[in-house]
Amino acid sequence: VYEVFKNVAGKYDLMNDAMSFGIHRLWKDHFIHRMAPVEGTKLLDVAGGTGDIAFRFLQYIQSQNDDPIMVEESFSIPTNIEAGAYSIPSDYAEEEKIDLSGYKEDTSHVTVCDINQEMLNVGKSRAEEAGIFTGIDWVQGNAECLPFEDNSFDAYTIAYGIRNCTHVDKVLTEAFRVLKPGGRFMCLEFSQVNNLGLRRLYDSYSFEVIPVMGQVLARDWKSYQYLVESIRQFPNQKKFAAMIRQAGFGMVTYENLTFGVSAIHSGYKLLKVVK
Amino acid sequence: MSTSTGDRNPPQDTSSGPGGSASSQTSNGGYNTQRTGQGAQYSDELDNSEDLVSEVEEEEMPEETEEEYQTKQAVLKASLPFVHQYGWTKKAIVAGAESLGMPSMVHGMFPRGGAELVFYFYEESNKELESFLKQKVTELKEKDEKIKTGPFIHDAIETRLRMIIPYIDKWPQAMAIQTLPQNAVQSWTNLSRVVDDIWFYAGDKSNDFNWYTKRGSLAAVYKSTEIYLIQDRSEDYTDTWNFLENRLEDVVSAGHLARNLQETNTVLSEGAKGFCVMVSQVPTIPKPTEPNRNDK
Repeated sequence: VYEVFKNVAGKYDLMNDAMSFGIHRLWKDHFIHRMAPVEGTKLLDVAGGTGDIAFRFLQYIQSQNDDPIMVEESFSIPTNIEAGAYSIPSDYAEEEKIDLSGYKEDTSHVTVCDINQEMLNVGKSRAEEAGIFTGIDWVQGNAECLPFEDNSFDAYTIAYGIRNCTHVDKVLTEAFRVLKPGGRFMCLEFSQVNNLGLRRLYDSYSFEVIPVMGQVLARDWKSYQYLVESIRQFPNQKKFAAMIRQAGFGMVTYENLTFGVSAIHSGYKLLKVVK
Repeated sequence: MSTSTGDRNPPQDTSSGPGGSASSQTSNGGYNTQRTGQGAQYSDELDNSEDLVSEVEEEEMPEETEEEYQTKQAVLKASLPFVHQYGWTKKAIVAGAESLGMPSMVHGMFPRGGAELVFYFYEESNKELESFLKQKVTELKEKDEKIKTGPFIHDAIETRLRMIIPYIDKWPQAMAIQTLPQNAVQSWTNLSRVVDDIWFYAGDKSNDFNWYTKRGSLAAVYKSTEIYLIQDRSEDYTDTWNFLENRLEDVVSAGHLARNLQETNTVLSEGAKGFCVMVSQVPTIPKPTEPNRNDK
């Protein structure tokens, strides 16, 4: 698995594009909308080396602050930057892409964890280009054995990463461990297409067209074939939901995107409630 | 749609399943416990469908466990005090969750957002109303008094509407949320629950079309009084209670009118029948015989 991703790191987006005609960007947007994070959320994004989810997460929270839903409860965005461990040089703060004025230490934060350092490096450079300097941490680690303490995150996401893990159940139990009680596990992944007719189309496209595209675009037939096969051998929506439940999560639900080509699974780490 | 005496909606109370709230959060016994009441019939479908050969299945999720239900209820309960500040919205739920020490992500448990808060409040108020009505009925029985329908209904509606008063500043928003199409069915169920309870405890035993008209008219009275309530500025809302009294009298007089009409209708139809019978007898009345001209 490591080898595949070493080769593919640079062209990761290209690969996802091939799998989904670029729709994966929409799916990721929808994924974050489903999460609907609120200011102050601590997110752990696993296997998200290039930072797609992390950036969307930060942007979503930022846009919430900019357009308050109720006018009379508008969040006042302080214009002075809180100094601290994250002091931002003033000319960078003028950057239009992500406005970080009002960024405080105890506010929203995302930790991106990936087994592959090169993916993380790609992500880091993308963050620099976008002008994001605070609110993201890049950590190398194995999803089956996370280098984090118990009960330390509000939310855990893994987008298009879990099918590549050898021991999915270990990943799930680790996710359960690092989440705070009441925290949410969300997984975005290629899944089983429900509609039989579409499924045949999708299958023939996957097995015949994609490796060819891989060869042409990235000169790497084998990696792409591996990817297509890894999707097929991954459990379907219901089985995966059962696995999530087995790891201890409650309120496990799933939502199909585009007839099941992708699916969002969600579960909560419930705590004992004092009545 | 049966119209048996005192037809009621199924009770909303839950019975705790085997894997109830005592289980730790890592148990997977919760997977199979079901909650009776709303939608428990899905559990049977799920068990059977696991064995189906067809891979193309409907999306079925097992009903939520007792633990999940309690968690949700606790969060909603803790969110109610924040309604004054944030309205019936997701923000209130987030504030409620955080007051319990849970992360803000918990709001994802309530996909309908603020509407869930409204329904929770409505259902809790309905439960409170039901216990009030039960108590009243037992009190009257002990005193061996008959239930006077008019005042009983007036008291019931007044009690129920008074429960809204603490939230009256944001109640218009709640009413608006209830009229949204995606929430309309649930709102209608809630309202019919109120009306059904009141009539049941008032001793309604009708098993004909009256069952529907009684509940329909009471629902109209309740709704119109509710709307009046939110713009009432009088001391202790006395204007509202007067309005309620007038509406109830209207219903009663309408009932009388209906009965009068019915009786009139009966009398008229009887009269018409009699007339027709009389007319049909005419040919059989023997003609008066001609006097015998030969008699001298």
